[in-house]
Amino acid sequence: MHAGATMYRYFDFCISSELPLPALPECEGDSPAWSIVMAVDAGGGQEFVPFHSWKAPNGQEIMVAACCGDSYLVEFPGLARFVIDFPARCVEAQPLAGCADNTLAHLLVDQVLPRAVCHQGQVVLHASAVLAGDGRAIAFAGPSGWGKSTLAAAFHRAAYPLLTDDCLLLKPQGEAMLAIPAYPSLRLWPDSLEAICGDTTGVLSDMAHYTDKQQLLLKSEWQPAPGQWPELAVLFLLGDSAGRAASGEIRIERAAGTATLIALLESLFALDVVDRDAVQRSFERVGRMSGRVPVFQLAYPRDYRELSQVIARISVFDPTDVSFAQAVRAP
Amino acid sequence: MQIPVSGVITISEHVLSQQVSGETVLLDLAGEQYFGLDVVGTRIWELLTAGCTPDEIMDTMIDEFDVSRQQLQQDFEALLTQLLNAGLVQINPAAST
Repeated sequence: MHAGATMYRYFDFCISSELPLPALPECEGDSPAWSIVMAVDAGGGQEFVPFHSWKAPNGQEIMVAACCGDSYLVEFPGLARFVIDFPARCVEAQPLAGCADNTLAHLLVDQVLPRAVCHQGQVVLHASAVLAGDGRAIAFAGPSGWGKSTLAAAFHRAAYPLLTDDCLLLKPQGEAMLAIPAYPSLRLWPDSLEAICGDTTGVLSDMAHYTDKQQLLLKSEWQPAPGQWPELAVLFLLGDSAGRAASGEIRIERAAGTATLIALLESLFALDVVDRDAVQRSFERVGRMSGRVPVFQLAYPRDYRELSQVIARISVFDPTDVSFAQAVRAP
Repeated sequence: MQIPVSGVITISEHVLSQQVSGETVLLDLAGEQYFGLDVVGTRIWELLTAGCTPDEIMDTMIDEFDVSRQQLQQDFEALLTQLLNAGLVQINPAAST
């Protein structure tokens, strides 16, 4: 561990970081799975070859990935550069001009590290999750903007402990599938935060300097006993495949095998989306896993006022009951 | 489209496939798009990857599924058209009739 670094818990392991990561719970230990070091010239001297860029709906590049041997460069244009050294399990973090610490921390824990963990052979999904009364996890996956965080926030407001709002690791253990959250926080637009979490307790902070989104830190929300991660009870898919629901309608339908696999693959925090071998390994890994996860498509009205009905419906939902594979109308 | 009876249909190099619950998901690495095949499409895909000609695929499918040749011909042509349009397969013109 580097001098001046702090140990944090992230998923089911510890990382040491020179960069303060206030969203993560601190932990003890001397053998971090990853080390985060600050750099003034991340990856200096290495010749990285760009292979993919992720773009916003307006076409603007928001993330660019490049490769050099076993190292990957992930750059957020104008904000930051990160170099992932897989053999050393080290990430160099370099803020570019004007990048605030909270922005750098957000990009690291919400974008770079999930992809690094996924690239190592784990299944890390863009999914939110809450803890149900029976101690198992309910997860929601889907494209950005389809309500993963909003649903998780509504469940949190209804006294379901929050596990994560966007980053969930699925890990098989015997017959069970464990749901391991990255860390507990809610990132929401101010209107959602006000409408859903108005009087909730937690530390509120700016998520990053380039967005109005707010982050509600919930580090004390739920602390599992060591190694006691919840089993995944059900994964709900949100998005186009689930369709839109009319007012008052809550529709839950079992997802087909291909729809499940495609949704899981599209939800994956993939790093190398070009290398055939890397993609093939992800394909096979998620394919093996998809048959073991109970997956349903969920459509509900996009209206804050009806979220309590969604929660009521899901709270009595039994994924082993095939009669639920049909449209239902909220009372 | 008219399926070439004895033509050779090859799978594009940039396609990956994965079976799940008897169905198949195809990933087009070039276009970064996923495609789902049902049970019938999955069997046709298996036969395509085994190098079978359209004629051989038709005969095998008739044996294995309760379907008329006319209906199968229509379904096969529809699937092949989709696969061709998506660039997931190619028909070798030299070998096609």
